[in-house]
This record gives sequence, structure tokens and C-alpha cells, in this order.
Amino acid sequence: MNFSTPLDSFPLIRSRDIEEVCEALGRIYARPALVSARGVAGVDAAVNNCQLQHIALAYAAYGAAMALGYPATGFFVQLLPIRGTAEIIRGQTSGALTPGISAVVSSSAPYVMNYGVDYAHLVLRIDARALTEKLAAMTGATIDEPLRMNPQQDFKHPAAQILQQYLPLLIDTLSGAHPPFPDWWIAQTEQFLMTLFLCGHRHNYSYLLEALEVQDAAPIEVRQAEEYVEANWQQAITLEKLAEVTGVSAFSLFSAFKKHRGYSPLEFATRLRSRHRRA
Amino acid sequence: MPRTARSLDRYPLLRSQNVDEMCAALERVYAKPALKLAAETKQVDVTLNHYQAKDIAIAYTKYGIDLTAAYPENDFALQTFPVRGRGEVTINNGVSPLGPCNGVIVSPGMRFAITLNANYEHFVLVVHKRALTDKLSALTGATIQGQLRFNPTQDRRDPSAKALRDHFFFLVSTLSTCAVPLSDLVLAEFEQTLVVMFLHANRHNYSHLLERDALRIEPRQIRQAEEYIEANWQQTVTLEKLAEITGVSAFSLFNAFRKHRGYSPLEFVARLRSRRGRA
Repeated sequence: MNFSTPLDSFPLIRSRDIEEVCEALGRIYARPALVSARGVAGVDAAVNNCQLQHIALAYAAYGAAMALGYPATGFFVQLLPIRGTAEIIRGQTSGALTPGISAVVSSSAPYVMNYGVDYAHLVLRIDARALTEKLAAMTGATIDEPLRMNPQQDFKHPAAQILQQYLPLLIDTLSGAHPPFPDWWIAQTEQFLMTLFLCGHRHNYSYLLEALEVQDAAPIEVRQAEEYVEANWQQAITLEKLAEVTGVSAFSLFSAFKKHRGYSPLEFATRLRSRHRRA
Repeated sequence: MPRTARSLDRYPLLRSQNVDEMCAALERVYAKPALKLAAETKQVDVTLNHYQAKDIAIAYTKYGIDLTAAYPENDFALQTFPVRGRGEVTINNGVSPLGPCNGVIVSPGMRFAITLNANYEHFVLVVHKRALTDKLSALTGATIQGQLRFNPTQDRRDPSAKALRDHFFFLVSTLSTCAVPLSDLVLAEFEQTLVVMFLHANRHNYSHLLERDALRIEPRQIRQAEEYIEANWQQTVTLEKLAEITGVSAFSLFNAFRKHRGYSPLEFVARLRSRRGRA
């Protein structure tokens, strides 16, 4: 392939020999086994790999319709298709991969990839130990039972979408980083990626992370209430009405106003009225 | 500047034609400016959007009038990201231009005056001084007591400056388009990432500490961290806290643990907890 590929300043291998390709994948990830010899003659592989500390970002296109079987790898992986179609087979279940439809693989789950000729994807690969440690640090919990991602994911989850949109930006940033950014910059970026991965995907510890999210009236409700008051200052305004408009309880709206504005919603209405009357 | 960056319209602080309302709103979120308007008028056409996170805030402003605003000393560092129009910032008699290619960085504790033409628009990243000094201490192990002084300008072609700018606009765009409030965990990690990138992209009087090789760590300091963890295993233990106690950087401490003990400080915490929890 002559046109530029993502991460092409980090080439791992360009080869037409499937043995060489599998050997190279084994060096950075896990050596796959050829499931059947069909299609292998046409292999024209390009794999780029940018290794950070506990995370790697990769690009892979094999140029052939073929199936590779991966053993359990010790990495948590997200595959983000950017071209063509493929199929991922785990046990008895199979899932389609195509741009916009991603897949998440647990560190202890073997899987088979059935690649289409034109298929290409980006890969986010996170060391299982580092991810487990991040989970422990975020939740304060002891992670005895290994972390396992649900094979079925909702990629519309906000954090999952942020992660999918963020990866191309990060790849662009790393590709332009000459000289490479320092370890402490990389370390923080990895923390961010692991947080997005753990918050955006469902797994057997999701409930612990959800418990940490503060259930508070966010400033957006305060602002919605303010907008309503601005538009309706000539009418009677009650706290109940504002609660109805913003969809949070009267009490949490009142507390949020006190916290973020230093006055209550009805004090705000009174001030606004006296200002409008003077004007 | 990326055209896709939305102007934080979901977080309106003020829409007004009244100059006093404008000053009051700015005082609420930042500091009260002393204003000089070019025309003899009280009439402005101001749009202020403001998103307040824990350590940082991001804002969008458009005043619709030629003006000069002088701000007093404050506990914040800020960086402007102009999108339209022209202006300049004066700090200590030094004048730096503002335009689509030139942002300006203001150090905490510095007065400054900003002069803008009527069609000027910009985004601002505001970072609390404490967040910057805490992060510097955690990274370098040094105690940061004195002033924190940033260069007022940066080379926008520098990859580190581009990384900060791209990540900043990614957050702006995410906040502007995301249908639901951002997860607190994701937002907190994003804030940390921007703080780290701010310290990397902008030259300051502690830059040299970030550039020298990781401090050499003695086994004594590892013991110190272990003793602290043993005594406080029931509380939340963070790398930053351990860095503070041992007087070395979080990053170096992490590496030293891995090297001398084969596990990280937080893995040690998790192991100890599960041992104590069972005992």
C-alpha cells in the first residue's frame, strides 16, 4: 500500500508472508494460528504499532480474506474497524465488525478473526495488570475475581463514544510528537484512556464505578432554571415549577443553586424582577 | 481553529446588552474587571459561556464592542484560544498580540489587561494554581512554594502546544455536543490530562525539573511508602500521597516499586487489603 496509513511513523511489519506476519504479531501481542489456508496466498499485510507504557495503539490491514485464531493474550483490546468488514468469533457467538461497530476482547478470552479482503482496523491494547490496577485505584476495591468485559457492548454509551472519537486525535498527536513526549505525559494519557475504557464498557465491576458517580443536580439544571426564570419573570414562579422544568427534585435544585450560585432559585427570581422593573 | 468546535452554548453564563451585568457575571466566575470602553456607551452585546469543572474552567466569550479590561491578580493561570478578531494582552508592560494564530498565557498572581476589537471571540482555559503546583510536586517530588511563572506566548507549531490545543478543543466539542452530562470520573481524568499538557506545552520557571532524569530512588524511600501503606491501608491511598510522604515523584516511585519489588505501589495496597480483609 502506497497511501499513508494511520501510525505509519511506527511501522511493525510490511510483508506478503503470513508466517512473518504471525511472528511479528507474536512479538507485540500474541502469535495467532492460521485457521485455514484459504486466502493466505494473497496476504499483503501492513501493521503499525505505537507502544506506550502499558498501552499500545496499532493499525492493521492484511489485504486478504483469511481467518486467524488468537489465544488468550493478557491484554484487554478494543478493535475499531476503519474500512471493510470482518467477523469476530468467540466460542459459539459471532459478531460483525465494520466501521462504527467495534468489539472489546477480555485478556483471558481466545477468539477468531475472520478478515474481509479490504478490512482494516485500529487497535487499542491495554496491559491486563495495569488496567486491573487502575480499576483498584479508582474504586478502592480488591480485585480478586479477574476483570471481564461483557462480549456485548453498547458503543453508544457516552464514555464509549468519547473513546472512539478520541483515539484518532491521540494517534494524530503521537504521530506528530518529535521528539517523543516525556514519560509523565504518556503516563497521564494512559490513565485517561484506561478511565474511558473502564467507564465506557460494561464489565463485571461496572457497578462499583457507577456507585462513584455523584448523583447531584449538575450546573446544567441550574442554568435551565435560570433560563426559564429569565423568560417568565413576569409570572409567578414556584420551586415546584422549576423542578418540573429541569427534571430534578426541588431540594436538589435548591442545593445546587446555593452551591453553584450562592443564592436560592427564588432569590434569583426576585433579583431579576427588581432589575427588570428598574430598567 | 477547528470550525467544528462548538461554542459551549449549552453552558450559557450571560447574554446581555448591559455592561454592568457583564462585569457582575465575570466577577462571579473569575474576577471583576476594570473596563474602558472605546465608545461613550453602556451598550455591549455580550455572550459568555462558562463550564466550571473542579480544577479547571473553560469559557467562550464575545463582547461585541471594542474594549479594554484590566484584571487584578488571581489564583488562576489561563490560556486564550482566539477564534476571530484581534487584540492584545499587556502583562507587566510586555505586550503580546491576540489573533487566530496567537493565544496568550497569563500566570497566576499576575495582573493583566486585555484589549479587544468588537468582533473578537475566544475560548479560554482557566486552571487553578493549586492544581498546577500539586501536579508539579507529584511529578517532580519538589515542594513548589514560590510563584509559578509561565512564558506569555508559545510556539503554536510545537507538537506539545498542538497537543494541548487539540485536547482542549476536543473537550469543548464533547461538552457542547454530548447529550448527557459527562461522567465525573471521565471529567476528573480529563482535567488531570489538561493540567499535565498545560505544564508540558508552556515553558515555566519549573520546566527544568520536569526535564531532568527521574530522580534516583533509594530502597529507604520504598520502605517509607510501604510503612505508610501498612499504617493507612483502610484509607484511600493515592500515588500522589505516597509521593508527598517520600519526597520523590509519583512516576519515579512507581518505577522503583516495579524494579525493586516487582509490583506497583497500588498493587501493594490491594494485596495488603485483601490479606487484612481476610485475616
